[in-house]
Amino acid sequence: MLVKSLLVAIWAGICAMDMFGPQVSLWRPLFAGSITGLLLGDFTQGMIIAATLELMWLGVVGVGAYVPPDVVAGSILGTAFGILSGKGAVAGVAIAVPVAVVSQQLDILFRTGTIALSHKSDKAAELGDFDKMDKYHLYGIPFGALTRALPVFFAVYFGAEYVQKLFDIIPKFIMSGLGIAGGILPALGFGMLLSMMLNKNLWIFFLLGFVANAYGKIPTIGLAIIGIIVAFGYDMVMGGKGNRKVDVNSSQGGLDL
Amino acid sequence: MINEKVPNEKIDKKDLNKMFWRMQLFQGSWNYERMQNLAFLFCMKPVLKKIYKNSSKEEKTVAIKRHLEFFNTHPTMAAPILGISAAMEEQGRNNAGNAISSLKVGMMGPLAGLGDSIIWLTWMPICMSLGASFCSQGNPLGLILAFLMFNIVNVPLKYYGIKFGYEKGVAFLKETKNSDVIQRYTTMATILGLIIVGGLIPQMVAVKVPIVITINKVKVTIQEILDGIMPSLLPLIITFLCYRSIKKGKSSITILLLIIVAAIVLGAIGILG
Repeated sequence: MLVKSLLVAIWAGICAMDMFGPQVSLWRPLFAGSITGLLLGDFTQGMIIAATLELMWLGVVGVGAYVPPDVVAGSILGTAFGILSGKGAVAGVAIAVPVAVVSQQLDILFRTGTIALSHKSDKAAELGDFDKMDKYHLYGIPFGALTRALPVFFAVYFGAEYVQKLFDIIPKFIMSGLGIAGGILPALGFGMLLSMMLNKNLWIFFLLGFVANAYGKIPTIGLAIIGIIVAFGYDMVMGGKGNRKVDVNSSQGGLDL
Repeated sequence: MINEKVPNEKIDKKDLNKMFWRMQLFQGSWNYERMQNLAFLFCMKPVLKKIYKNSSKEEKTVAIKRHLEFFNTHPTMAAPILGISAAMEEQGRNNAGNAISSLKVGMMGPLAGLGDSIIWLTWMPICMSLGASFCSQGNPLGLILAFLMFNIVNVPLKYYGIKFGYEKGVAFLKETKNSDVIQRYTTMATILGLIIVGGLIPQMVAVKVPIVITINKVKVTIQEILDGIMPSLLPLIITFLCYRSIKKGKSSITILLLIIVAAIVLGAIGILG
């Protein structure tokens, strides 16, 4: 069992790295589950369970700041238990759903932890050394892989209840508090961004975008169209006032850039 | 407008290819605060290092910090934004800093929407459900088919997205060497960016007050009252407070810890949920 647990855990790490990296779709239930079946010696059964999970989770993707239930750990463990228990897709789905939700919590922890990398690189930016900046991005990847590999290893090796118990050690209010913080923290990111952008008297446009979405529920692509129209309108009014002559053709030989 | 005297380092195909390979690790450091900021810098590094080779330490720091700001888009659709940013860094360097930041923000929202709806919610479900229909009968052909179908779209979108963004960006900037025009486009890009950021706040900043109070035997939740005043009022106020604190020179780490502690405490006593 140790070898099998290790193999499946390594596969979970690979799937996680795909999800945090090239996203060639190894992280989808179809691949994560099928290969788990192959590793556990029942490829056909693995594919059948994986296909069930894939259809169930077709629309589950991270959109914007939303962290979805973790399909990687969910499908790998769902398939593994479906095969190991001999009960197939029904048992697979029954295990996969709670595992995906629990693993989502781990993902929230991970994505809160990576904030530290951002702040470390703020400090390192003062050195002006481009090469030194690389590592702060790369540090995230092994941890991301471990967030899937570790629970999968323990769950396959000891059984799923054990992993559940492990999660119960973390007080519930801490986890839900971090969940709430995860919802608020983009405000800090936007605040920093605005401190760079709001240097002219343009705050009214910021409010316009806010109101259009908060009241009008206009989605981002619609906002972009409005934004382009407003920007051109502003330019027509202000650009004309300044009496600016623009001659694009005369810039042929200009080396003033 | 551009007065910095330095030999112009040209970006070549090799640099764009390096960006493409680095893009394969795009989500590695995704974080709740600034999301894909480190990833963007990571992809821009080969280009930045070349462009700012002979610049002072301060110039380099300014360039690095510019790309450490908030960024979030669909991981495939980041490609054209990276390409255009590379073109603008090459042509305008730090003098175009504001324009680069604004353009990144202006493009990230719409492209995220496009990528989410076309790639995540249309193309991927098509490929995966086709694969699943084979696999459910135990036919491994489904895996190969789904993998090839998905990536024949996903990979070229990244590769040509960078090239396309860079070439279009250079062509556009060459046409508009007039500094006055660049200033105007910067303002326009900033307006677009601000409208997008304003519209992203209700979508991305989530905070709710689930407390229920009883007035004259009528149960009202605080959240309903707040929504009655203005939808997404709290996200707007919190964003504004963060903005003010940053402007006043408060460290972002202090604000970050404050938010986490407040969320845990207020969540535990039931004020936030």
